[in-house]
Amino acid sequence: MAKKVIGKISLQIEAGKATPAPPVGPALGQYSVNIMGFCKEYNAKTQNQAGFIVPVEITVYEDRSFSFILKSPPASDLLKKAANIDKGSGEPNVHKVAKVKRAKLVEIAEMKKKDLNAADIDAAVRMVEGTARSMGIEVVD
Amino acid sequence: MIGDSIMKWKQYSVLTAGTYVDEVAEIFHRMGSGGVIIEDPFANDDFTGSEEWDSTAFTFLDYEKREFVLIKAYFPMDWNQADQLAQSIAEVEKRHHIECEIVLDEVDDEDWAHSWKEFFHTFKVGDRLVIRPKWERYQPQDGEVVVLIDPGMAFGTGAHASTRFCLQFLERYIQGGEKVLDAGCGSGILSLAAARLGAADILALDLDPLAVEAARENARDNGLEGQIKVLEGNVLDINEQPQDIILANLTADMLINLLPVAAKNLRPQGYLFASGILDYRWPEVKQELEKYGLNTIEVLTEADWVGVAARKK
Repeated sequence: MAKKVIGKISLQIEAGKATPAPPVGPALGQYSVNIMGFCKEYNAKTQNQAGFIVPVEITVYEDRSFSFILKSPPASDLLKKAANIDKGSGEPNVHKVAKVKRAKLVEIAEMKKKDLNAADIDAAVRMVEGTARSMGIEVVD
Repeated sequence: MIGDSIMKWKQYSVLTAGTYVDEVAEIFHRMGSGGVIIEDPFANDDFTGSEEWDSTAFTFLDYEKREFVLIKAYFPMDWNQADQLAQSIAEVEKRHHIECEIVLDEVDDEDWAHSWKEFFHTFKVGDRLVIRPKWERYQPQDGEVVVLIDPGMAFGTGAHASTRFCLQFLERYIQGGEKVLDAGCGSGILSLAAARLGAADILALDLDPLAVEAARENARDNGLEGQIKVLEGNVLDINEQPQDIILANLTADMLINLLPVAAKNLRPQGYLFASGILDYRWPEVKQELEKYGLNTIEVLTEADWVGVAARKK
């Protein structure tokens, strides 16, 4: 019989850099999962994506063993790479930090469509556009 | 958590509509949270109610708020950008005509740092080696070799396949009296097992001071501090040839970096026991081993992990 699932945990952490500090510690600790075991696996499996935030969905079983799947980096991370900036603006309304072409935005939306839970590509583009705006990245045609 | 001191953290939780999770998470990433936890009640829909789901184990979010997602981030107690956070969240609210809720809690790391221990029990690796957590009792059977372990917050309980591979190699190939180098010792579990199985002189290294502290304590608890020297440092700086055995439970990349040093420090016919290699990296690792005159003599696999015992020509 399949092992019973007792929980699912969703994290956004930097590739190759999981440590027992928060957020990993408290997220896994509440389910009594071996924190270091997870860190080792996550870091080994994401080390080729260094510099990106790689979201992870962890399934915890009744014996406290776990499995996980990696997701595509968040739109904000892909936008930063596309705009060639380290971080978004602290005051996105007044201080714009970069520009990206709409075509690039559509490309990111395509990549993220499944993970964004968007009904169609237009909805996905709108979400990515909102993220860009919140980071002080201007979208140009 | 360092030693017995309890560290406190500020936990900020933002309740928002599911669509805006990435925007809120980005604010936390920008402010240096080092990551976020996302609690999304929808994420459980595909398995709650299924046969695999144990509904009695935990309750998730208040289901009256199930159209919302909770995003949590943690900062040290002296973090003082709360105003900036509130302002950034207010901008998200304004932009999308939504309301978000910010909740601040204080948490300490005492609970989660140790909760997993409840599920870590004595177990056997190979034919003779027994790994026993410090907090359990165990009556050894004839011929069994017991290693006492408290990993603290360092790598190495012996439960992970990659650690087990190296433990199995040690059990199989140690003759007694060897000089051993443990590269990236973590909790010290491999050094402890090597000493218990008869190795005479072990140098254990790690870059992480918490691992060094845990490994020293474990050596003391096992009464092996005379055989195992634990140092904080980089194995690439070591020039202590000739070694009989080098242990490397690392990752494929770290292992490949280590190979020139390992090959130099090993005596002819000396062993390298390496692990932490994902299967898709194995062909590359094997090729590198050959390049440095290390013959593969045994390979262990489990799930997508590979461990290798190699011998210098």
